[in-house]
Amino acid sequence: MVAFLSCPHCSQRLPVDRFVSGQPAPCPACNRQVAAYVFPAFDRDNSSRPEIHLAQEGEAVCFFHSRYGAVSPCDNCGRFLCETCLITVGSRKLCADCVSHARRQKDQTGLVNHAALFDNVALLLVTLPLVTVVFAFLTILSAPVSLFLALFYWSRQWSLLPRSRLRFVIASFLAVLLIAGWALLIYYLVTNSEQFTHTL
Amino acid sequence: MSISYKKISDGGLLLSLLPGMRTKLYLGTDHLLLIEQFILVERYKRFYFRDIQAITETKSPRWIVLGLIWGFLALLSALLLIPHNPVTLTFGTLFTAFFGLAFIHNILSGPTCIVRLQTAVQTHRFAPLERIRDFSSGMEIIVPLIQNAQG
Repeated sequence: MVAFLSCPHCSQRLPVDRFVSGQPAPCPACNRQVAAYVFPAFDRDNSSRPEIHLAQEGEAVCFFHSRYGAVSPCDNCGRFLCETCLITVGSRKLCADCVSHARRQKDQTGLVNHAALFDNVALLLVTLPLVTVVFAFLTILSAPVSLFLALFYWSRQWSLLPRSRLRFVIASFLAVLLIAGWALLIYYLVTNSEQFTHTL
Repeated sequence: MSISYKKISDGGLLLSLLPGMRTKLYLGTDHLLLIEQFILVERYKRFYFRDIQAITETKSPRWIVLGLIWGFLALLSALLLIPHNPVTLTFGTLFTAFFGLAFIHNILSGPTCIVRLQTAVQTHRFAPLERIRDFSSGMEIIVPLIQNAQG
């Protein structure tokens, strides 16, 4: 399969020979100046499959394919793997089982593909009900949850890259204020309950 | 879950104010890491140097459109300063300052562009590099690394 370059604006095919790395040239379809950096991988033939050789007598074979010769052991479990079974994750070579296991455990940085933003969750739990005004009463539940999230995830790294704790600080501050406010209100209502029932 | 990454672009100051709109680009040891934030979740996309076939860029008029929008909104907010009413004065000052800063930030950030990264199986838009200045500085770092990885 031969690769082709496409215009970032109109997605039409571009003649590769017209582009020297970084030098702009016009797109034949939309006439916009397009700068393209083309790398050696562009000319690589991607249709070629990994060469799998049948194991000769006395040669180590793949754990999963007993007819194929092994090319490398799995860095995690040590099983011998052929070209087909070998999966490269970052600098490690793993078998499909170990990749699957690592994905569940999330202990391979190269396999983490998403993370929940607990700082945003904590902040939204205290601000969203207040902003909507109508749902402000929900803060009796959401404020303690927000405070719990802030304290629980304060020192844990839950995203791939470290994040600022500013949102946790703001969320905790607001949550403490709201919890104190609710506590005072409940205390006031309880201590003055006799007066209320009398009034009613 | 820790690994060393170097920041290339963080998607701009204004976008950081809008949750769910932010994309960031980081440099790993053998790949580029694109982080797409969607309100409460962030997704990580990795582009390994050995797989990158091409990076294309073309200028876009988005910064002019953005400049017009921010400028128009700043002028509109400034109209609130005309009546000598404390409420309109307060809101007028706040909104004029906000839209005025957005306008200045847009001008200072410079012209915009559309950037696409191409591999054998995908073409992905690279929003964090879509200012000419960010793109140029980003390419100075990325291009040699890709060339080294591909021999």
